[in-house]
Amino acid sequence: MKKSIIYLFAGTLLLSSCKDDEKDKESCSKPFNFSSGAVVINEGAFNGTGSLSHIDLTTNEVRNFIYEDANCDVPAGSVVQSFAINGEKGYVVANGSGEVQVVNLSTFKQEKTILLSYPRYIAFEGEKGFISNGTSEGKVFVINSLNAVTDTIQVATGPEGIFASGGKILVGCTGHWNGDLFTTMVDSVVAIINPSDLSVTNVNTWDKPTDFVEDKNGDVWVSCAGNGQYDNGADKAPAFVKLNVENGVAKDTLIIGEVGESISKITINGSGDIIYYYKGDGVYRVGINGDYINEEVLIPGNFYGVEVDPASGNILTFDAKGFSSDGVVGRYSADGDSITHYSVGVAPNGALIK
Amino acid sequence: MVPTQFKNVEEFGSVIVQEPFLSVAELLTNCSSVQVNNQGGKGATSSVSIRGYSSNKTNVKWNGLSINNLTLGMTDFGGIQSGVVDNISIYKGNSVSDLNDVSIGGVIAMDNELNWKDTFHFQIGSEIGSFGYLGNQFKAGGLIKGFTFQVKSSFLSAVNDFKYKNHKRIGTPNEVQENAAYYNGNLIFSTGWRNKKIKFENHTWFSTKKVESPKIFADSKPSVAFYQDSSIRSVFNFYTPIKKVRIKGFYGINHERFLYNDSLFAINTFYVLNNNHFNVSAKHNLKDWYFEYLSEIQFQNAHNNQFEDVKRRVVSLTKSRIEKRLFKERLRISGTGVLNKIWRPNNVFPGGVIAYHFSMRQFVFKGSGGSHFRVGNFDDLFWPKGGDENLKPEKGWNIEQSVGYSVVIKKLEFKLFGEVYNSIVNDWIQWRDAGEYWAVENLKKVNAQGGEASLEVNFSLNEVELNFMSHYSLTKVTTLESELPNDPSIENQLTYVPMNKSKNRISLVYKGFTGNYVFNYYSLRHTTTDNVERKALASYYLQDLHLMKKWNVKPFSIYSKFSILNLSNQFYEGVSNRPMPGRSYYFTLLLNFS
Repeated sequence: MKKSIIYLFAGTLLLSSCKDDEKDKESCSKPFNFSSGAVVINEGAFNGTGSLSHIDLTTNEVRNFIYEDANCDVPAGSVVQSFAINGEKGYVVANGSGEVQVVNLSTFKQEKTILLSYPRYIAFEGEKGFISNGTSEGKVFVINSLNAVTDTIQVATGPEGIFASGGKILVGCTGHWNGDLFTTMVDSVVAIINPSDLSVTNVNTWDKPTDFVEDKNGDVWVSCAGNGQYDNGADKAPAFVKLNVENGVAKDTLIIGEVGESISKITINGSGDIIYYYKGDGVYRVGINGDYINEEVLIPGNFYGVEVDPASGNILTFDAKGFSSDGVVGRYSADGDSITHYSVGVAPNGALIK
Repeated sequence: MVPTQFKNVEEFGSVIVQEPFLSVAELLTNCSSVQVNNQGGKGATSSVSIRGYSSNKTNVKWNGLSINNLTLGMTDFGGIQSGVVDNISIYKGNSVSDLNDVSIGGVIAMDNELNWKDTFHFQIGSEIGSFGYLGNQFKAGGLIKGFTFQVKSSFLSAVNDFKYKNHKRIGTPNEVQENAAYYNGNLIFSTGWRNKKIKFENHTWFSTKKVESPKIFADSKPSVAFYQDSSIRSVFNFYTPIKKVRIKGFYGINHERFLYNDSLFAINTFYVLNNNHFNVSAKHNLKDWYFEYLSEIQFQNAHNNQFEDVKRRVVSLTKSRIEKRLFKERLRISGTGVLNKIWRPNNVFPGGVIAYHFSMRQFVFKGSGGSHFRVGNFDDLFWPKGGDENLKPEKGWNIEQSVGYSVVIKKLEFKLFGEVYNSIVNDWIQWRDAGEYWAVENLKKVNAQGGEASLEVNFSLNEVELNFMSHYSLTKVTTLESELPNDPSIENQLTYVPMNKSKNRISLVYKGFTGNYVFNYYSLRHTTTDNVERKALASYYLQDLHLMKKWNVKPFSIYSKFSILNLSNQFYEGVSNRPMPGRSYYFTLLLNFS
């Protein structure tokens, strides 16, 4: 009896301590081939890890955890902020964990990790990639075709959205948090980077330039969040600034709300003439010629992102549902009529649509 | 080691005497039914939840002084060693009516007790262990002509550079925890004087700690964040009888300074908190009738660099309790009425508890029903954007029923205990995404129900003593109603609350040697409000082994202990994404003079 107890005890120890934690990469991996549809970016819960979901916009099928499935349940990182593609590679940007995972788009298997401080967004021009670093240090990291960091470009503080247009890279510099003054030191600079010599031209736009779209005429529209109650400087409503990238001139400024409101991410339809954005009460639209400027909210709701499927013109909305449960992607016609909804990962903030 | 569950209160004074180097969090983890969420190694942030309710609903008192952080509501038990106090008690559910408090979930009370018997005593000890852990404690006290004093100190530090296999990074690399060090110091002076009529007591204590924010699984680089928390606290107690009424007067002050710094994101938050308590209580009995009265007022203020000015609040509590004892005190029936008054937000909350306690042969039955209440913390009320000064307090009710049975069969003693409870919290306070910013609201109606059962077996034969204790808890906490449209938390388990947990201990004592084997099990814990399985933390078990030896060489006694924690080197996550240490070793040596 005594021996049995000893063996039982020893067995328990042995079993638990000798567990082989190494996973067989081939057997545990469920590859995913991204050829079309929407890859949804899910930031993840507080203290958790982010994920990617895929929506087949033809069959309406949803597949969650595509990155984890392809990589033996290892997550892409904490706070997955954005996703971009360049050729056959995908780039998953996780700002919480400070890294960019480079994946093969035909399998979604991770091929390389680029370690960076607080990466936010990534854009490509030629063989170079440009990654914004959202801190007060005001840096843009440059990677080469081998996904190695080759240069660091100094721009104004708090670089956020980054966009390739007309052979240039545009970076929205929103400012930075001052912990001592408990206020955001607001910036209004769009840095235009020449990829060939990495020179920078600064263009003053409007407070907190955040995101970009290019219209059918080749002009770039910059969404500017404006200046709020806890920002340094005079209060300002949100606005769009229209830029001519080639000569670095702000052509027009369109104020689109009241002081105290804010905008961030924007998107444009396939024909490049209607921009969609969201405020606290839902999705709005504005034509590049000023159409719909006084229109009521197009899709009411509390959203964390908006995209347009260029093929169908359908609008996708991203509802983070309190950031602690699965989020919901809504699909609407261009006129705001509901089509369907998809359940995705935690805290979806946008999608890349191919 | 066995909690006194047949009483209304679980007490752990005897555990502290035996194992003063156990942290309060470890003691509660191993010896009580409460849930402790630990975020890392020794000294890491540890919060306690009772009956599934979140940690900011657990009131914590130290020598009668409320030490919950005024801005956040919760108490961090990380690093506080149980040896700095003499007793720790847990009041669950309606039993808080036994204390000067009103709470949802329960109250944890830590107390320093003056020694009115020994003329002189001291204790000195050290503990060393894995991952750069070092602890030192000193205690001395004495009694001279009605004057008693005691000094206690503890100083602890740990590097927490433990290795772990990172399952959340490609290739599951072996990593070493970084930026996870902590330092904690406590110094407590207790003095008292008494004669036949009156008694004075004072406890004054200083606490300081610095805790670095450890790297989480998903981090590619160590964090640079840390927090520092320092406090000075003092309480004065005055006791005197007036005829047959026993009167107690109390004044306490809690002054706390807190700093959180993260240079990467330019976050520098600091605050200064003050809480002044005054209360007077009286006890009296007239034959089989027992009366208690309490009146307390707290003046609270907080200066936070994120508030525009100093925020103030006044909270008062008036309580009357009456108890009738019948059938030679086998049946006790009590009624408690409370009136809470809060200024800013202006609220009056009346409440009450009705309870009974009945013992019959080997059985003990007890049950109660009553209301409970919690006011939001300072961040809820005063945060510049999203806080709401007019936030309603959480309130609701709780009922509970328990039965205990004990029997001795020859050399075997059995103790069985079972309890069920059901409680509701209305106007549950929660922050929600309000579009432009986050805002606090009274959003939900939440139900906590469950049961606890324990079995204790004691056996002694000649020089051998064997003790077995097993405790099981079933905890179900769900949202019943919500103001949020299509709230995914409806009917789902609250995050981080395991539905099932079991704590088990076998102790063997033989010729001054004691061996303890501990086996604790925690079921799956959800991290998302919609209870997505894939995002849940896996169930886990932990095994610890302790070997102790005590030598008595009067007037000295020497105590030594060798411990292996996480014996099976189990991988587990207490809190999502937080690496936990694997197997670790500790050695304690303690010298007592009395």
